[in-house]
Amino acid sequence: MRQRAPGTARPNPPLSANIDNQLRTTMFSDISLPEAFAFLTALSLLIYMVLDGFDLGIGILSAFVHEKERDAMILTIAPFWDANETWLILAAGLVLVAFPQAQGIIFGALYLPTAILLVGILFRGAAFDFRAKGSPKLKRLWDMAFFGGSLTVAAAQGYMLGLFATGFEQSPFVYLAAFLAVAAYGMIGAAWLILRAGGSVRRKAFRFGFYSMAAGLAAILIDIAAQHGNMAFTPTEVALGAAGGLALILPIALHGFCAKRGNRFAWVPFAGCVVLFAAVVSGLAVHCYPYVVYGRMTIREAAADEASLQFMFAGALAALPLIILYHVAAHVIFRGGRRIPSGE
Amino acid sequence: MDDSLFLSRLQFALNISFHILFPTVTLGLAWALVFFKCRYKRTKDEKWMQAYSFWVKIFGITFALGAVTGFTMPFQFATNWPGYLETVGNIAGPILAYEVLLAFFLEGTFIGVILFGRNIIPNWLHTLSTTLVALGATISSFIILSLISWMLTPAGFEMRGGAACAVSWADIVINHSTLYRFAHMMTASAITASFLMAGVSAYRRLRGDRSPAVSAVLRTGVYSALAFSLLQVGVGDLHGFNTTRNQPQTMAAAEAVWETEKGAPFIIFAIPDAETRTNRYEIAVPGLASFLMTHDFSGEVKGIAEFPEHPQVAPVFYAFRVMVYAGGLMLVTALAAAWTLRKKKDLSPGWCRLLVLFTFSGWVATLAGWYVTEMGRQPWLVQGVLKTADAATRAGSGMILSTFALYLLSYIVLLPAYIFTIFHLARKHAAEGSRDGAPESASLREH
Repeated sequence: MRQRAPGTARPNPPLSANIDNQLRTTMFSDISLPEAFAFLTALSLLIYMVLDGFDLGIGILSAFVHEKERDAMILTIAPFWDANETWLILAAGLVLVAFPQAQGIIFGALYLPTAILLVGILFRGAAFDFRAKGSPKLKRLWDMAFFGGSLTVAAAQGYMLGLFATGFEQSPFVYLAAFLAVAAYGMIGAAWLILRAGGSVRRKAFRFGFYSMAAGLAAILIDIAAQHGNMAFTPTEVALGAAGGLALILPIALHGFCAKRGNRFAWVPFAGCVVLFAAVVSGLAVHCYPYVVYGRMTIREAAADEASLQFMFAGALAALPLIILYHVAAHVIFRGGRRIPSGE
Repeated sequence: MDDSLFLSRLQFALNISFHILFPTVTLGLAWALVFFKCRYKRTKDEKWMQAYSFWVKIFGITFALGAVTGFTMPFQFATNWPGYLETVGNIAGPILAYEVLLAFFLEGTFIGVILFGRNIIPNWLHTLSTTLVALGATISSFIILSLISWMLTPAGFEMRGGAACAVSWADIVINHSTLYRFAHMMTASAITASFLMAGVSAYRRLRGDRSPAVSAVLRTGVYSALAFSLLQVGVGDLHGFNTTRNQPQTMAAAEAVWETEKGAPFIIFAIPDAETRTNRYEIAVPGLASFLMTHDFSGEVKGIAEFPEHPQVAPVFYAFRVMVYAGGLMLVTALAAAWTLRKKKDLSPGWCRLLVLFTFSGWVATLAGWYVTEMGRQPWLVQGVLKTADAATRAGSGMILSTFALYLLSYIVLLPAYIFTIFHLARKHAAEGSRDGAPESASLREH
């Protein structure tokens, strides 16, 4: 097994005489590929947090409504969740394939939370279908699995991102991050319902959005207060927490704004959440740069061979417009949520 | 073998075994859905649309489970096998990335459209979406099989500073075994889906459902099971022939040939003994193994003794027997059922019960076949490049044991739930089909 010492420059590979070289000189000569892939990873993470965020959020909120409302809520995400989830494979997959020297360290340190995340995904996805198509006697049980799975996935992701941001140092911050992920997904889930649901579900969604935000904000305030007691947090973490807190106020205000004004502004809370998530991911990226393993291994040290990165980059450039097209097509087909017919 | 390595291998085997059950079904079933749509377009017979609306639900459940169990795979590379991507990440990485970019999003987006868009979009667009899902599944399997094949018959790369680097992507993707393995798996998947269709339709018949849609799918399932089983005899033979040439140690283990010999017998039953390097209680057909592996009854077959590094013989040997016997049994069953169907125009309850028994028979043969491949390449993870032991994590065995238990418990819950849900759906539709003359019309409107 190869371990490159951190800090040493990667040896320039001898050029092999094939098409890869032509690609190298003509297409991407002035782009730093490892950094481009770090950007793509962060972008995929953001898209994932927005897209799967709202359907995980609906999973979390599903425990707090009546059965009929739950069915209606889940129907609003039914055509989308599979594609949404795929962004996680892309985001995590990019870490694996673009930074092979870091993946072992990162996921080795996240061994247990990764397994818990995966089992959460498993039960959530299975419950999605079993609750609707299986025996009605077991529906209650699968509903619980759907809620439990969604909650587990959200908390595990927050916990993992928290550990990632601190260079895998255990601290109270990682539990805060786990809690914030649940609150943030709950919030964007509520924003999605405001956008796509009707009737009692929509009315409840305003409340859910507010509670999620209040819980997130309270946790951040406790975090900041705890700072003065002991210095368990680094200044960067405090700054991140404060930025998150400020960003949270925005969607709160927007929720209130659109509750008063009806459907025309129903997209506003969701847009607010997207801005918030973009702020969080950018903050995380700025905080970590230039490391892929915080404080230990840089993006360039961990990156795959140049030729491999080029091959992948060409694929990503060609495929991403198509992928966006698929998503747009699906959202155009199922526009205005209430048109989604029951699958069962 | 130390505990961590053993447990990591056990966990990987568990996860991949559970995962492969679902893609094996969906890969074949996706094309069956396209077939139903095409039949409907040609004949304008409502029964094909009813067939579609029932089977798309089964497809939806299976697809969802395939997707969520598939998540475990790439994460496991990083958590349990960090040395894998550290050593061959330059090759495996781009291939995995292409699978996500080209296939997963295509399938993941359009599955939503075909499950929930029936009454919203025009029929041609819905048929197109179904085809895109089938295409996505096929692309996905081609890409992942090309990576697995590269690990078994590596080509188009060079070692630089301890890591494999790509020299020719064409040689990597279409390496010496890709096309054989792809054909073998596609056919296996078609057989698995065919027996599933036949089995579930037979079950609905037994529950009193006489609707034309059920008969049509039963017929389709039986005939396509026969056609693809026959095809598999040829494809499997070519694949075995190819494996003999590229990985002789694997085939030596699969046939339990200890010493190099000419005219090696095909062993029907034996207990391979690694200590004495002989087979006990052997019952064999002379020359047949030589014929299968070299296409010559007196051809020379290299024995285990020739290979200092070879897989354990017994498990590979048993897995190979299970695959061949299960495949043979399925072929005979499909042949007999097709014959009866042709002569009597119908299947008796006895025949239906037999087909119900064979509902998931494809899983047995497919899993056994993959065990031959996966155990048969040991001790190598990537033939001649990276040993399994060198790729494994150094995480404590207690940790791995706990995640292994977690996965095992999940699967113990989910597998029966999956099978139960499929038969529950079948019962529900059968009740509708036997109650009113226009079966499934209610659910069709609702869908």
